[in-house]
Amino acid sequence: MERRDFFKVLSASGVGMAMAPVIKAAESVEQIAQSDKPSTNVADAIAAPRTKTSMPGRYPGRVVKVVDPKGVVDGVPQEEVAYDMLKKSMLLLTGEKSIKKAWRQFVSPKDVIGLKVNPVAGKLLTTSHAVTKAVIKQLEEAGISRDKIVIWDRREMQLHETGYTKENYPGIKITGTECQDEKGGYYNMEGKLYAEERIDKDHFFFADVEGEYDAYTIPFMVNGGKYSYFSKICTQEVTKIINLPIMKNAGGSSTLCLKNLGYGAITNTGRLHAKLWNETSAYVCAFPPIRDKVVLNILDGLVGCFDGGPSAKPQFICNYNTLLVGSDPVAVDRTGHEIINNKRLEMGIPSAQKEKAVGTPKYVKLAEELKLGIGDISKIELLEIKA
Amino acid sequence: MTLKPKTKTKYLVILILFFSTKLFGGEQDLLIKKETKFTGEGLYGFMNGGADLYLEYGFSELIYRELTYRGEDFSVELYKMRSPEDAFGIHSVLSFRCISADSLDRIDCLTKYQLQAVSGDYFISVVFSAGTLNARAGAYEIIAKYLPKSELKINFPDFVQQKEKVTSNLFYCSGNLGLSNLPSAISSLMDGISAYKLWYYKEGISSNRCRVIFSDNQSLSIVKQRIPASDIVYINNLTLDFKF
Repeated sequence: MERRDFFKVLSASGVGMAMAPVIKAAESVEQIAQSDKPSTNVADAIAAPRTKTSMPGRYPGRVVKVVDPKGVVDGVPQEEVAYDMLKKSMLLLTGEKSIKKAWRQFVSPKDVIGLKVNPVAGKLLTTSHAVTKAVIKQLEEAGISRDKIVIWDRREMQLHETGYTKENYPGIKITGTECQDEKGGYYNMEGKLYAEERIDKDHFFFADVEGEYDAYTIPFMVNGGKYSYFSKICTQEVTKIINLPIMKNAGGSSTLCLKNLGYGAITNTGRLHAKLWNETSAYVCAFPPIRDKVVLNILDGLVGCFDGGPSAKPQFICNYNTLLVGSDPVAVDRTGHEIINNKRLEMGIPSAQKEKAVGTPKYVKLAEELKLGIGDISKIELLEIKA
Repeated sequence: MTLKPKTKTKYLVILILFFSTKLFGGEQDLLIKKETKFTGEGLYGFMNGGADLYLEYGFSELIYRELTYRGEDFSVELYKMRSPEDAFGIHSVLSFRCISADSLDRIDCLTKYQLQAVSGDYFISVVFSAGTLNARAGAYEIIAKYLPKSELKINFPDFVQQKEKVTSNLFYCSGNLGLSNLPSAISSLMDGISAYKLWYYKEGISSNRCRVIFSDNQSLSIVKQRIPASDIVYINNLTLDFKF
């Protein structure tokens, strides 16, 4: 089957129909928690009442894909091109004619808006400044002042290392859950991690897997044990989140919108990789601080990778010259996963054929079951823009 | 090894630059801007989920350095792994379209922006964003400086002993994440099997070879039943050698 055959453009009523199986599928969510996996408190997330801004947001199943070969020049993502790509995407996504109105569907000047970037792979493969600056510029055009914008990730030091600094982003707060002082220390005078002040113990993801870390590791995990606490950045500081992940593979899977949020918003994640990678990526996004605040996902695929991810291995980095934009992170992830896997096939990665046959990644299926969006690619409304 | 003429020229220039810098290079040209060490699962603090693959290959320690050498910026990752085979294994799955000059005695992989190499139980990766010939030459010298000269040898399977080139042809893994980098038919063969060491040599359509060293007889029997008898080259204790 040709790739194009997977995509089906639905009418507005078609989107409504596409949501139906998602709602029905939610009845089986309890079964998820009863599988042979370690138990979690995902049932708490399911029980929390949804709001009008809960995932999948205003446009369930709709994804705008924009490609511009001029998006990256000499390895550098181009800010003006990114701005133009994003503007076209926002107008098409929302059906608005004015960029201000398009953005105001998602945010207002009263909001404190967190831009969740992904700097974990370092300078080579961070959320590009071209895209982040394009977002900020358009937010300003929509009447959002810079003091209402926060750029965040779990690791403040990695933000700084990748150029997310107050010098590059004047007037915008740059913050992370895990942080250091000016001398590079992780502990305050009382011997407590600075990061402990930044976590909210009222909001947590429980999983029956023990986190045990040595002295080197604990500053990157904040706490051990069976609880992962949400960052105060998402529980208290911001009212809306715009998610800005990168187009990366993670072995044969992908690490896109849901993973950026799932592993970026909580502590004590090391324990969750081996047995609960897919579950964590989906389940954490079902908790209110994420589910009800993430209003828009802009998947930065100007530069991305097709293998070696989620770390940055130069031999596997490529220019997709692509942005994917949508309110529905599950639909964006399913679309992004397809793009990555097609690239893996093109580049001759041995396992790509099998991955293609598997189709929808497990974390996307789990997220769909949790009503976070549409993962069935035949039900995704893909709107394409080519430069 | 056969290289295209253009590639040969490039490679020659890099070697000349490398040896000229060996003659004239000095510590005064080197500025270490950052040095960090990660051990065990602390690797999650460096690369989050990317750590899983390294941990599967028995990662024990990473020394990460950002430095400037001869005016070029480099980041250097020196990994100590569980064994020389594991160091080779991580190298094998991270090698891609190398301008490679390796052999059984010298294992490396050069691409436009990265040089990686193996010595004993160490794996090193040097990344240079400039991508210039000068940067590539610098990367060789950095490896000469930072990659320990280990006496530990990789215990290669005998069917590759006489081959000229191993990078991009020979793969080693001992778990699912490494295995996922091999053709999916091999993954299917190993479904449900744990605790093994697997070598895969990609020589040609009809003569690829696999060697699996199992930890128990039951696992060997299961995999043996999945392979046509005519493809089995030999079985010895817990070792199964077959054409693939």
